[in-house]
Amino acid sequence: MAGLQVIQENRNGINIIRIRNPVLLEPQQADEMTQLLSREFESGSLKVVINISNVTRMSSLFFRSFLIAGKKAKERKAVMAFCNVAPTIKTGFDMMGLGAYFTMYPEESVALENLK
Amino acid sequence: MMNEFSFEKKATVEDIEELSNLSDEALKKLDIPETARQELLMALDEAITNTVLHGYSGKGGLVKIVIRRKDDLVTLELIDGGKKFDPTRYPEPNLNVPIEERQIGGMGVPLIKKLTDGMEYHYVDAENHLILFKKTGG
Repeated sequence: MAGLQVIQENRNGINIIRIRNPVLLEPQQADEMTQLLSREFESGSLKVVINISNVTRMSSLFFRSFLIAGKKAKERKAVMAFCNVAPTIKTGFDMMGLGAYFTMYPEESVALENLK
Repeated sequence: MMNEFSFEKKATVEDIEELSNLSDEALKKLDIPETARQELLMALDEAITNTVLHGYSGKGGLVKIVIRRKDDLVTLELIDGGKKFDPTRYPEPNLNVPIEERQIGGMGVPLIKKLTDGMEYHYVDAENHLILFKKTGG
């Protein structure tokens, strides 16, 4: 069982979270994601980009984590966006109506440019 | 021509990824087109997760997965001896609300419904039988 593996970087006030795991199915990983994103917004982050270029499979437990974080971001007038989302995962986001809440950028550089 | 793969394993939280990988291997052997294969796998991942977390309350139990392909129709059957649960009666969440009003969780079953072309549920001899159908389009 692999825990959540992320690399974090702050660039010009934008916090980038790059997820390294290719497969995100385990509840423990989703709990870690919820905690990580909660800490981000509770510590005052206003712009967060989640790069999921490595992720090929993701369960709806993560959609739940992103929804919880999205609510926190909204309360704090912060922005949470995604980039490099695989087509099937994007389909899942859209089917669950999450595409309406979060902006998805094709590349990290495009996300950073738009969130400047 | 009918092709079929099946396997049975103990399903705990630690086994979710392995069950998913075994299912993916079977779907690949059945030569299912890429998009349909990935959507089926996503649906099956949700069903396996529901069984492990809710059916067996995370304590583990046997899960049998049967994957069949006949022409352009793929059938996935997941059989478990966990708590009786009929996902076909699960209510649809309201997706058209602002994020502040959106209900958290409960997305697994609705996602399965949207990713597949049909779903059946039977409770036979104290076992849940969840059957998912998808046309491969290829």
